[in-house]
Amino acid sequence: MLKIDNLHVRVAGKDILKGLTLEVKAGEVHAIMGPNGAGKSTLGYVLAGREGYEVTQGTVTFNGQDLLALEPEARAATGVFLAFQYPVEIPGVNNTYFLRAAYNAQRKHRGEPELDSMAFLKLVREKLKVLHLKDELLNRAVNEGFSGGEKKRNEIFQMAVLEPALAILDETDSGLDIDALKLVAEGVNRLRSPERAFLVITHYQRLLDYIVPDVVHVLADGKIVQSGDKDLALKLEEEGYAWIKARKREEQAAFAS
Amino acid sequence: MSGLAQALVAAAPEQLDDIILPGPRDERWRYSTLRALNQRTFKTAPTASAPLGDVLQARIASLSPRLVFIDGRLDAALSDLVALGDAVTLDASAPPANPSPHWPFARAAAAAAPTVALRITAACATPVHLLSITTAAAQDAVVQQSLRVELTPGTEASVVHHRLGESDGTAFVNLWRDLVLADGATLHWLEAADEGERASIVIGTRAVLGAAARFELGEVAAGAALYRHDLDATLAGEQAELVVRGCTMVTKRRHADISIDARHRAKHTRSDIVWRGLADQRGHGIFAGQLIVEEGADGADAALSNKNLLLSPHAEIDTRPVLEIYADEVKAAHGATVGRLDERSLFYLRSRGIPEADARRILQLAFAREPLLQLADAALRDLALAALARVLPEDAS
Ligand SMILES: Nc1ncnc2c1ncn2[C@@H]1O[C@H](COP(=O)(O)OP(=O)(O)O)[C@@H](O)[C@H]1O
Ligand SMILES: [Mg+2]
Repeated sequence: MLKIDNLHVRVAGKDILKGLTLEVKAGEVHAIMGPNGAGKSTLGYVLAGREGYEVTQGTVTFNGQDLLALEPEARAATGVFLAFQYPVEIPGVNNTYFLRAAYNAQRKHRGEPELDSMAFLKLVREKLKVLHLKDELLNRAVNEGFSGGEKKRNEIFQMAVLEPALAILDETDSGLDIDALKLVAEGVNRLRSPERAFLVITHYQRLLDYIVPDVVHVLADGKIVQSGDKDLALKLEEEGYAWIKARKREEQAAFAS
Repeated sequence: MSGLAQALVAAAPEQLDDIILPGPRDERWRYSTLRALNQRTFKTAPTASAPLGDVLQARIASLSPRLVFIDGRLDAALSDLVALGDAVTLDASAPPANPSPHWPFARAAAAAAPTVALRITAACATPVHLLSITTAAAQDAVVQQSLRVELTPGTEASVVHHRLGESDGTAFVNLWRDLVLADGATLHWLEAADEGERASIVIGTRAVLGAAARFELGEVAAGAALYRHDLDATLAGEQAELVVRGCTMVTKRRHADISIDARHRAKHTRSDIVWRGLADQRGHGIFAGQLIVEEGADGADAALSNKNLLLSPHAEIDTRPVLEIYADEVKAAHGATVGRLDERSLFYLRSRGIPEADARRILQLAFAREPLLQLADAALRDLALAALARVLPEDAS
């Protein structure tokens, strides 16, 4: 489904991703872990199409299509969704209005009929229930005045409504208490299906107790430095990222000698 | 004498022989140059108007109760105040009010046009619609209007002023109105326009508020070749209150210049001004807000906020908040900003599938309507939002 090959990305004149290669198949959940500043969010942004994230080398295909050639809205319509690490507050734009505009824009892009406001409201109410979110969330401005946890849950709520083929969750677990974390995980697990894939970016192993990944990757200094099964996450948790760094130094030493 | 001044004087030569229009060195007209107007030749106001089209007639009929002015003249046949019963009295040729000497345009209007006075003596349940219609007969003419609205003690009323012009109208429209709010009166006023980009409009609004009176002005300014609205509000009685909630949205080559003076003259008076400006393409938006707390107006509370968005590299915004305080124990706050559409918000919307042009429009609309949503009168709020939807172009980019 998603094929990233030798991806190099420059942000504000600085090389952040330096040859990242990754393949995610439909139905899989991949976790990406790594120290702060490794380039995890950069990966999410570049897949979603944020301006200022310059691809200097490499390719990304999504279901065989050149993802990097698409505008952000077209990527969304083909099924890419990014749950932001820092969701944006948009005063004056009603949450329901925003979500319906997004939902219908995606459908229109795919040549599907749009939903009227009644039908949409019904859909949205069902999803709210699943995530144990309050109705009043619908009447508020997008993320405005939301607590950290509410913002993260609002991201998952949007994901639940938009039903993307590939969801990239950027540290959706950070700042959540254990109950909120379980709700987020439940929201994700409900969407898991053979046609869907997830890229779960996290700093902590904790989330992966609830969203069990098929593959765990360690991203450090702009590259995947290690991949493994879910036990890799546990090992990282125990030994910390210093272990990766130490291992890298050893490798380099071995290479040099 | 220049073309514009000549035409103004011609309408009332005896009274206006000493009139001087704002010149290039006039600080308060710095961004609204009259140069182009001075180079044109204007006719005096037409005595017979062009026939009104079906759309316009239907629009007029849909707004009631109403006072209709055609090319500056009150049209009694089209006006309809029946629904208001005894709550209002109308005088079609009242003695003119004297505008302040540094308002030459208001002086010209007061001298040239009969003053129409509307006296409101009881609460009006629905808004009173004032329609100022400029017809094709007024091409290249000076159209003037002098209006007084007076509210007796304790009365409350809402007024919507609709300015309707031909889409290619080239008239110079000069409106002067004098609003007098007696003690405890409340006046909600919405200024909404539908004018072509070649028209020129100058409006002078003076409001004098008695004790505990409240004046709330809402405005959606879409601009014109030249658009200037001066509001001079004097909080003359204790606890008088001025609230302004407006926005400017200028596109193409439109120009809109808003100038507000809030004068706190009595104790414990309050002014609260929020204005948002957006300028796209080659539009030019200007906002000048002066908060003046006069000697003795102790305990005044004055607040002014003007935020702006520049939407194109060729658009222009000028904002100038001024604070003058000569009293004690005054609370005063003012702030002005000029920024661009937030890239992060734009990306957030697009990342959810909303096309860029729509995302921009959503963000612009949200920015512009924020002050309008705070209008206290629900009917005026809805009309203001409808007016905003008309001026925000679909192809905002
Ligand atoms: N917009 C930006 N401008 C400048 N530097 C950036 C920007 N975004 C990210 N960076 C830098 O890129 C590096 C990777 O950041 P990021 O992808 O956010 O890491 P992570 O999410 O793994 O913590 C960091 O050194 C960060 O300072
Ligand atoms: Mg990050």
